[in-house]
Amino acid sequence: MKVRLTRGTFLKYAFTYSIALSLLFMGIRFLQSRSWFLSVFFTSSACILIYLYTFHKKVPAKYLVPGVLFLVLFQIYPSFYSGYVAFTNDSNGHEISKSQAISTIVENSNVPFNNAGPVIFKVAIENNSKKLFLIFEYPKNSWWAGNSSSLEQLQVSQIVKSSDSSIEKVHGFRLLNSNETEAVSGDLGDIQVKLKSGLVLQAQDLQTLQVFKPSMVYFPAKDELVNVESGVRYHPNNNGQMVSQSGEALFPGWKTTVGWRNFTSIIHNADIRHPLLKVLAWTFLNAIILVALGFLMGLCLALIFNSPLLYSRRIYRTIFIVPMAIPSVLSVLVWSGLFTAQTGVIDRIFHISTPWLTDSLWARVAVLIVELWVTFPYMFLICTGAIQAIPNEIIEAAEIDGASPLKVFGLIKLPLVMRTVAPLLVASGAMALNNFGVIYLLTGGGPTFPNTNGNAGATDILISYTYKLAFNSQEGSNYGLASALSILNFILIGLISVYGLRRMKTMEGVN
Amino acid sequence: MACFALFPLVWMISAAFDVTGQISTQQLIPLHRGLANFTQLFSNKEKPFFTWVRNSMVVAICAAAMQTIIGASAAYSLSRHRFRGRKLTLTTILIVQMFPQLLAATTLFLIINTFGKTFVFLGLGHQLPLILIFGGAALGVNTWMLKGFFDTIPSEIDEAATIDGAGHFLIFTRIIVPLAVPVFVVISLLSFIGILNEYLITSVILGLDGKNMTVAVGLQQFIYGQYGKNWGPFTAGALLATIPVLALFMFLQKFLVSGLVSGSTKG
Amino acid sequence: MKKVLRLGLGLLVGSMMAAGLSVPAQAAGTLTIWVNSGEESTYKVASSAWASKNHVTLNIVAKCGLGDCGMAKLAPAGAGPDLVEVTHDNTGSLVSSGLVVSLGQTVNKSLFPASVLQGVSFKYSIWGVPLSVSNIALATNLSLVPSGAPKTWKDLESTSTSLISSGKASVGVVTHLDGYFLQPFFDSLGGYVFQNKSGTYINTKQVGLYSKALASNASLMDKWLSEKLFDKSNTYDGSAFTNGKAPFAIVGPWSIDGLDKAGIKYDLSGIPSVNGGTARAFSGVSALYLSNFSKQKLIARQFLSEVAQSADFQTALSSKNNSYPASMAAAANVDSNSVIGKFGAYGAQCIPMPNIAAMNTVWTYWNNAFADWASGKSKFGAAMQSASKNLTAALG
Repeated sequence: MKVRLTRGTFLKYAFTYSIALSLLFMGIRFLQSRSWFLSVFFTSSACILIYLYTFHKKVPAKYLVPGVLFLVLFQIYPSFYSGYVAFTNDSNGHEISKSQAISTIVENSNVPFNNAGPVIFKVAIENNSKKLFLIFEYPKNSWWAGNSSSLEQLQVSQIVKSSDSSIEKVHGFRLLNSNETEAVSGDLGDIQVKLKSGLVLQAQDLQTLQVFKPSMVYFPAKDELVNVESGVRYHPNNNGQMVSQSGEALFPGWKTTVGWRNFTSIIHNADIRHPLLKVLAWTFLNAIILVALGFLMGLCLALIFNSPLLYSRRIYRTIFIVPMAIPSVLSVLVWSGLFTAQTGVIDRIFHISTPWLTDSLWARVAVLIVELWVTFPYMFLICTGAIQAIPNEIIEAAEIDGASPLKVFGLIKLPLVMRTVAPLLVASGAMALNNFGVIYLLTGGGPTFPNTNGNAGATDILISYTYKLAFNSQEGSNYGLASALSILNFILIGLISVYGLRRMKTMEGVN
Repeated sequence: MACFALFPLVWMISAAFDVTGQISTQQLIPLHRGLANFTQLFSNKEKPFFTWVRNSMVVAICAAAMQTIIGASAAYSLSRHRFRGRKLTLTTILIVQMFPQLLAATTLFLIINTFGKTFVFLGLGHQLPLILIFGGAALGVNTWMLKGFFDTIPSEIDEAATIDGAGHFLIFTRIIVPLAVPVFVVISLLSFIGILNEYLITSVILGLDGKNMTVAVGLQQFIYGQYGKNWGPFTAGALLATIPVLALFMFLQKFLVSGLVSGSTKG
Repeated sequence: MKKVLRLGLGLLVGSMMAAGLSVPAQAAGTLTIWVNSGEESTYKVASSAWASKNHVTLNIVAKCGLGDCGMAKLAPAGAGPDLVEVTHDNTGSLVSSGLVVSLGQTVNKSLFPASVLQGVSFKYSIWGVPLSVSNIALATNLSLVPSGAPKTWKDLESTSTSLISSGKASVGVVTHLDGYFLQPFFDSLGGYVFQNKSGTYINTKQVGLYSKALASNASLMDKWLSEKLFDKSNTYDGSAFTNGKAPFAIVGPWSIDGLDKAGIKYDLSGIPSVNGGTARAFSGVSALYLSNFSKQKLIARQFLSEVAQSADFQTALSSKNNSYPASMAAAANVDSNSVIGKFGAYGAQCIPMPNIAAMNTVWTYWNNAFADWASGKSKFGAAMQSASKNLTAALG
């Protein structure tokens, strides 16, 4: 067999393999950081790439796989992660793991001990174990070498002092100089030396330790925290928190799975349900009005400006594309400036004083106006396309038969246009449910509903409300609930899209 | 109607040239005209406007190109080849895109953070990972549009080419792609503007360091606070950022009508 | 054979490229600090000498404006900052989420006034190094009110109403109609968030949104709203004030650049109380907090004691963000006639914002009540009464 290695194939293989190997490398990295899914993903992607582009003969996969890999990593994996979060209590106060939470509780219970002044320490490496130790004297005349896991008492004879009574040498250890100490400062900060008496010493800077007396002690075997002063015992409850029998809960709590609680709370908890129902109603109302009005506007414009009689139709068509071409992040912010009440441009033009953005009704109107402004060019374009696609013969034939223009429109043009654009309208409706840009930038979902604990507002749609729950600090983020809502949102949109798909003509090609 | 379409643009222009910098109390023809907003925009070292423009362009052009290429090759395989799981793939790619990506920002941040520990140029604050993330959105509605269009190209053409000895790669690049140019233009254009508009994931990945921001993220900084809304430089920047995009749209507008409809409805 | 050769060649080239591109982990001694946007360069300049002396690389990052800026998610995953600058009302929430470390031994208490320390204290410990104190103040447009800042409430009210009736002004006091901005008025009517005595919260279960005194004074707020002393529209961009259509505005340190740019002549003062004297606004301490997940706690503590608490640093920061420095040594250098000095003079009479873990809930109920009142949905008293009831229930 003859090996033919042109420059093209060489480059192709060099390219494929370097990508595959980078992926492999990344897989190992993720293995080290214990991200199992990502590790498996990267390793197997590397294998798939090598297999596909070296050994495989089948063509479709070569074209499909890169896209699919991207899809899995950047879309499906984050979606599944959100799905997982929906079953946890991830929220303010429950953001860290259980072991982190318990060590934080214990550490926070540390009280500086009896005005024990700072204790000077040196950093040393034990000759045998090569481990990092802190060398210190506490109380007077007892010398210790300790770290988080072990504590050794030192004999006075082991310590060699210099003329200014600072430690110069410790037998069995190698003292670190100041540069070396700086280099390990990160590790030093985490070291807690626990004396037999229960006292804890912790470095405060690179020279001194502080003595603490912890008032909480954790017993891993029984999984309980005990307050050594009061004797109260704390046990974990099913919501990721240590609680005493009297019901006193310790902070911080930790993140844990809570089953379907986030979903059931949507139904059972009136504080969540009431605003949510209002938000849902507006979500659908907004999408339906937007699509209906947008389509109507687009259709009318398309009919008017498609007529060849109109001299300047090219200019108008150009003008109508403008909203599409201005980055909407910027244009919506400009709109928000124009909507300022009383002094704002819009109010001054029409000589009105409207509480745009602060009154529920007017804020909704404002949102619709801006959304319409953003979407009508698209509607205009698809309607124009659909009208142009109608074969001229049909219309001419109808006209010869003596049909009035109104009849031509109602019985021929409209049904044909609808047939073309209906799936696109369903798609736009689904997009509208998921599109929070305008709302977020224009009203921020406001004005908020009265007397609800929550930031749900009159112009909030489901997705913007979800965003607030997850990120807005005012509500105290509740990531778990937000994820549950985003799944709800996904199901809603999915159902609508599947319905739209069934009606889509392209489905005919899928067989 | 034309007034409605142009309304914000007109006020954007007006506010950009008004040195008092208050859009809410703006007169159509500003009383105090001048270029102060522009000089203020260009001279701000912590908010380097031209760097933002460059960042935006790099990200949007690369990512739009990537989306189109990946989407097109997937659409080619879905349109021209019959294989098991094809219908499932088609449905999946459409449904997956419907999942709200808002909450994914944190997950993406953590993935990219780990990338950065392995390869610096794939880490936070770099544009490549952002481009890759947007590339991940390639399979979706666009793929459907492209597939719909590819379906309309008669397969006899490919068959003839195959008989002439052309491989699948040659057929794809020399026959299918040139025929689909209008759809490509539309899809790239829509991807391009979509990416230009994105700010949540962009700001999470690139960070809010002045030199890293894109136009969409950066300009918002001028009116970020509710209290110190600085409309002047904002509108000046928005105007400058809009002009090239607008020009691009004008230039390519003849493709828009045909491209938008043809893909989704088989012409 | 051919395939094996290809594979081998590819592996070789690929591994060389991968090795060339990969990098070692970040060097030790890097301190990441999240700071308020716009303060980055101040931090960099003020701490560069310290950083080079101690071989520390500083990574100063502008934080997004909202709350903890995602720290709750990023820090536990190892992607958060070592130090973060946040306003003190987040203290309770940061502590009870386990995100920050107690700084008891690191903060030199003798450097700061007690009221400032109270802000960053929570459950018997100090959690943040105070940097600067910010509060709102009353700005008076000197061309509309040549006599200067109002001394008494009557002064303020009559000036506003006469300017409005003569058509020279469209509104009296330009302000957001929410808890933070209207706290001084709320205070002077006898309302309070939590029971407090001489500037210290003594019982954070005792909600006073509808205290007896407030209940009897509540109708005054309705009257002021109808007199246009306050603007009914809640969207405030300060334009009525900067255009000379309002005699007064409630402003904060963040507004100063805008006011100066608009070129109006103004004076800053405290807000007079209805009952005479001064009404208390909330003071907010912005402070640096040490992340529980920092890998560089010692260096971070060293930064906190050697840089962040120094008078030089605090002075530099205060002149950047127009807030009053937290440290007494830095405050001593402030000119009492400067903007910062005037904010500080009023700030000394203010009350720290509460910092309990459930502050989010407080703000939500309280602000919603203001929104109801401002939009005319309910009278002030009724709005506060139901907010008070709901808040008490929510706090448990």
